[in-house]
Amino acid sequence: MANETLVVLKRRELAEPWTLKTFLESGGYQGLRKALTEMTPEEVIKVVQDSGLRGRGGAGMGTGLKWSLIPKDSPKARYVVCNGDEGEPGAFHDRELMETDPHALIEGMLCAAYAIGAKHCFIYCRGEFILAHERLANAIAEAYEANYLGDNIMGTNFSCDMVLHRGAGAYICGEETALLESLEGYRGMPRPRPPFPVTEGLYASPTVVNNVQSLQAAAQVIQNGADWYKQWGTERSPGTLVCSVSGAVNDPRNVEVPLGTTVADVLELCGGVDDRGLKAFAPGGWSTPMLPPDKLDATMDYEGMVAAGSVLGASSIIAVPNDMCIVRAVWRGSKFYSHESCGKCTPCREGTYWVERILERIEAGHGHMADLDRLEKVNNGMSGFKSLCALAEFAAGPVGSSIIHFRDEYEEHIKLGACPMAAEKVSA
Amino acid sequence: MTDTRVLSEDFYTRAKQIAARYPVARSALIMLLHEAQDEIGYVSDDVIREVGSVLGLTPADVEGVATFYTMFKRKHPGKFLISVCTNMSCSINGADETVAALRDAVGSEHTTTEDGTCSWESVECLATCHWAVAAQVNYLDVPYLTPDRARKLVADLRAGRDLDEILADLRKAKSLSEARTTAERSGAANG
Amino acid sequence: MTEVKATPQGTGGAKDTVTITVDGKTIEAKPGSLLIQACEEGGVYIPRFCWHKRMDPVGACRMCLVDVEGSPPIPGTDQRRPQTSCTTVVREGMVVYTQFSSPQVNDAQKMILELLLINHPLDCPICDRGGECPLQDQTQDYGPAESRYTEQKRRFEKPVPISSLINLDRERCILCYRCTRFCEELSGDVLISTMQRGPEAFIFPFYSSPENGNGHGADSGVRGPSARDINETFDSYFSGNTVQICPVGALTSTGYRFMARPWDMQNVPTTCNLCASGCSLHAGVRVQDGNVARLNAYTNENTNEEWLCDKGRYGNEYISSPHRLTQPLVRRDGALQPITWDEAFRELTTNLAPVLAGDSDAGVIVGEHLCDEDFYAAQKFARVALRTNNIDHRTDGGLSADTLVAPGVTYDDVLNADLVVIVGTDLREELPILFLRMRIAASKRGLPIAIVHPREIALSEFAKIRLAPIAGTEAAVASGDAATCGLRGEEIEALHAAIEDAEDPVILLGSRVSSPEAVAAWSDLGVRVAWLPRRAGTYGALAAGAHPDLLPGWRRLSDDTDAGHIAGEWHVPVPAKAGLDVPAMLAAAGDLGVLWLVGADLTDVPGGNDALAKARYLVVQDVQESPLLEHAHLVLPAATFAERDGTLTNWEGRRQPVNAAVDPAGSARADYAILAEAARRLGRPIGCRTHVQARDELDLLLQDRAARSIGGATQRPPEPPRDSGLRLLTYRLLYDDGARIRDSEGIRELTLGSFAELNTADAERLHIGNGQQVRVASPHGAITVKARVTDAIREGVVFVPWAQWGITARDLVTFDDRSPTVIVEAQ
Repeated sequence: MANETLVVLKRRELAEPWTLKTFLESGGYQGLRKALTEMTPEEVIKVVQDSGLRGRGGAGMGTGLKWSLIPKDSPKARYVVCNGDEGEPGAFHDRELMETDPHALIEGMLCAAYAIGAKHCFIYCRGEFILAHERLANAIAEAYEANYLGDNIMGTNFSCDMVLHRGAGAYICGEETALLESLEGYRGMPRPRPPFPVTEGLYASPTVVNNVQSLQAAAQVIQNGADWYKQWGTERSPGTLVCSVSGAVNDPRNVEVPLGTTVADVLELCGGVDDRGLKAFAPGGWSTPMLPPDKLDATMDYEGMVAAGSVLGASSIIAVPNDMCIVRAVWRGSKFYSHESCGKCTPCREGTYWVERILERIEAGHGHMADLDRLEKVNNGMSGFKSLCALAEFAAGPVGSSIIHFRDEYEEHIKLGACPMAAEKVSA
Repeated sequence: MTDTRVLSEDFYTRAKQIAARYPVARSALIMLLHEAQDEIGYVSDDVIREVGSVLGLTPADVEGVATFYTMFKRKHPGKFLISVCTNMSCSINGADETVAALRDAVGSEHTTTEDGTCSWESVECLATCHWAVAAQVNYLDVPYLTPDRARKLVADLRAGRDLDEILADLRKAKSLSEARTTAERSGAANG
Repeated sequence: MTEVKATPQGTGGAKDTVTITVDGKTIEAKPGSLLIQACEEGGVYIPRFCWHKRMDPVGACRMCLVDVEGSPPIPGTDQRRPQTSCTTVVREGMVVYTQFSSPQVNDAQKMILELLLINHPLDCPICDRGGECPLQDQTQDYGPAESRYTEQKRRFEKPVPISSLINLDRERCILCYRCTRFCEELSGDVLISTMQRGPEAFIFPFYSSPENGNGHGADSGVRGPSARDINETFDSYFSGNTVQICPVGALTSTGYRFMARPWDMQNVPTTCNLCASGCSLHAGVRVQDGNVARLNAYTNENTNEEWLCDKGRYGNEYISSPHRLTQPLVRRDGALQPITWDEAFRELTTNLAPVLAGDSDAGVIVGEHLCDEDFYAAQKFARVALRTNNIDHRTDGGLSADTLVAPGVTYDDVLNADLVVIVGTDLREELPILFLRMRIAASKRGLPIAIVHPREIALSEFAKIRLAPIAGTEAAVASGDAATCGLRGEEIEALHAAIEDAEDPVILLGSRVSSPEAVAAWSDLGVRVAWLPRRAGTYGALAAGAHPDLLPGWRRLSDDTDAGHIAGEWHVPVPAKAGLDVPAMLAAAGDLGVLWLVGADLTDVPGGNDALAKARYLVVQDVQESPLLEHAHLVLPAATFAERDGTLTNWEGRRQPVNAAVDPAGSARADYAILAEAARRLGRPIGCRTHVQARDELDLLLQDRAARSIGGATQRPPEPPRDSGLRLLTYRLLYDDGARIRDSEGIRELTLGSFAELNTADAERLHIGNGQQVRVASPHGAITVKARVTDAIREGVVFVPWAQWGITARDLVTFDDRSPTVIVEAQ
């Protein structure tokens, strides 16, 4: 039975952890102090790289590696942007981290800014997160007041400003280039890559876009060293991971565990599956291929989840109960993707629309066997990395995996001419 | 200029301050739309024109941005907007039933009650999945919005009860089962 | 996820090309070029919708996918991720597989097309684009033969007029964003935008929204806003370009709707004659009825690239108007009766007897839309047949012989200058394509611009230096007289310093700046100066000598050598007596034996109406009916530019061909031909029987000649404005009451109407509110219009546009007092 290992969630049990007072009392801004007073920017990047900390936003790219790719010789301004636009269905860890420990985020961003020579930081906080926005705004005000932001931070030569920015309801803005477009005041549509944000990001300038958790972890890595972080996790996925767990569990919440912890152990930390029993689970939010219960021994780390046939993604486990119709769930998911598709590129815009239409008919009992075959083909056709960003791949994940593991449910809908579980449930 | 404006002087003062925070003023567009919507209640045609004029953008440009984002409403949603998540974890925990209750109590989605009090919308994951069925009223979090609690919420809003009180009450529940039981016990079926 | 590398750059090295391999074939590409363009130039066409070579790539349609060696793999497969060739820059040694050699790419393209077609309506039979449609063509070449889609298609109200000129059919739109990108990136008129998101997205102008919610993709029948929800229509001078670049039939021209099929049209290349930009057109002639069905831009890298303004594109409906003059007319018993050409020439011979005998003088006024050959024929007709130097084209004011400015500054010169000073013109109103190209250069490359104009103009946002002098004081800006022009000394010094510091500056003088001292003052700065006429024929008219003081080939009447040379070529003497200019001819109209108008519209000229009423014998030679006919004694029907061959010389001095696309209406004839025949019948032949004959003769006289710039102050300096007076600024907007565009309904709808624009401080002082009716009175006349109060115009100046829906500043000015002091009073 695993225990939680609270690293970025360590202040969760303190009273009012979001205040500067509590933050300082619990060792806050020590990482930043060390970076600014004892380390060069290169050394900061190196320790983060050595720690093996990988981006927790889903891509899993080495955080230190990303920082190191900022061109040293560019005359343009550099920027640090925090991707606080958590929107993956089932994910709610970044929100808790922003609400609970906003100063830790500020500290992490300032460390990144120091490392890459940025004087401007932006937090893109999801528009619906009113509480997180308030706490971040207060924390930023406190930080300015106490000389942790602004000119000559902590009496050093390092000056940096921070702007708190809001989203307005668009899942796609969690994609880093769409986020940058949104931050520039445009429709949040992704940009072709290359060029990548590290060379041409915000205002066509070198920009580092990092996840909330990655930034908070980075500050602690700088404070405590690379080896300290490597005491947890696996060789290729060191450190701890905050997992959101929801759906059919008794105690849905965020838990922080070392990478490599099994899904089963994580579920146990959340009171286990509830009395409806587990039909399937998505390990990294709904956008990751779903897995059947015999994969509960899959480990929550990047390589382990791929080996199990899915992806770590947003490390958010959704437990699907036996009384949930998979076809209905996948249909509901397809509505999400077509609703959130930005519409810029053909395969996603039209593909998500088509997939939703087919699933709608199958769930309503108007499907034919040919539709199942067509659904697979359209799903594959829309994905395969033809699109501008990964949303189409995400959309394809649940559809494809559900057909693999639960083809019989689809076939039953078709043969029955109705959803076997529909009862009087009214559609959303 | 002698044209009448719908946004307040205060808005214009804040707008300038906000725009000044960014290296490029256009970045402030979403922030200004939020400020304007908070003041007027929705993103009206006038809001689009006026926000555009602050940043030197055409109304078509501003509307293209505003309509991209779900939070910006082009029609007044009523005094209280009830947003209920119907995405995965919430569907698993009864969002469909909650939606049915709201449809009964208020009307179809996006329709405001005749007294202008409230409307409801189905939204995507609010990142409060541990509070399934997750919901918000004017973007303030409401946990465990079961059908009964939804009916009571609508009734309370229409009765003019103070929103902070309503939310405090709703937030007393610490789990979904507790929320269900409490609602049963308090006989809130009629709302 | 991916291995991130900074984009590898070309190594440069010793070669100046980049070698790539495409489908096994070696292609030498330009370093830094896009793969899609390099392939196309190397003979491998990659299909595409959103990419357009004159706009930044966006990688939206995904049609141009290719397989590039070295791309990251698709997890779980042995394939590489496809790349969009429009966003890929060529690299030395790149190995590429297109649809021709890669089944993966081939399948991907099929899928993209199938997906594009799932919501695309089967409109081909009723869609204007059919037959010249990239979607049709690429589906044919790269698409699947059948669709597997069996659901409902997205439905929108269709078509929706988004302006009086453009129709939008959202169902057909494939969201390639070429139209919105053209507006954002090139024209700057962001009047259409992509609205909403995902499969619900559509292009639209600013509209009132009937609903909340982006929808959940559920089929709910016809969705989205309709025509009546539009708040601001797509009123851009360049909107028609979006129709030409739209790869489907989503954007179509209202005037062309259902008119023709591309395979029924013959495209005749020609040159537009509605301004001096010198745009190349394709006149699409429907072979079944011999009518010009539409005008499209024809690519000309020297002048308009591939763009047109809407006036040129849609303002030529007069060609097939029912108001065309199709037969000669003579006034008998008070009414105009149709006659034959023979009868018309006999009328002339009779009625011009006194002129031929030398008992009375004659006057010829030519309009500025005509071809070079017409100007040459007209001045030769005046001088040889009518034996007078009373020939002029300057109905709008214009250059005197003392202020000629050498043409020869080109578009390239302007766009590559390191400082362009725009003096006294709003280019977007007068030379829209020069404006467009400058705007693109300023926006994309930072072309440095300085503007000297009392009022903000469309290029103001890019101006590094901005001077707003009092109207009519442009000379003082050049000579540094700050007090007269109402500026601060430092402002003028800054401009002069910038001109000094620049290595390659160009000064563009607008058509308003035509007083001799103003032109001289700017020329005295010693840098390249180009005088920009508004009208298409002005340079041609000057070069051909359609001017009382000028002879063909930039020669001067007052110079004996010049006159002798002409006489030698013509074998007849050139009349010695100095000629009258337009104002003088109008004043003398009652005394002239004949006043002959060749394509000249005098109704819009100060004193024009009086002159017409007084004329002893008025000959009107024109293309269409107009108020001119009211006093005409003889009417001769002329052919339009679409009905005859010739040449036009644009603002650069560049000669371009005008080609006949259709037969002349009725028995109309080309202007030069009418004059040539008239001369012959009068017994004083001038040659010019064909356009080639006229052109050759003129060319001989132009050989080794160039216009010279001569200084000389002949007008007194303008007075400072009186206490409550404002100085009048007036010029033509692109859309006005002009004779040619009167028949284009779409353009008429977009013609603004008159107003008086004044500065906020002046308005306060004069107690005038925005939108209030005001009376604007000059020493010459008065008009009543609505006031527009703004800070976009300087204090001390009021702007009234010329000729808007019958209200015109013509009533406030005279030929020699074009910027009078006016009193503006609230009504």
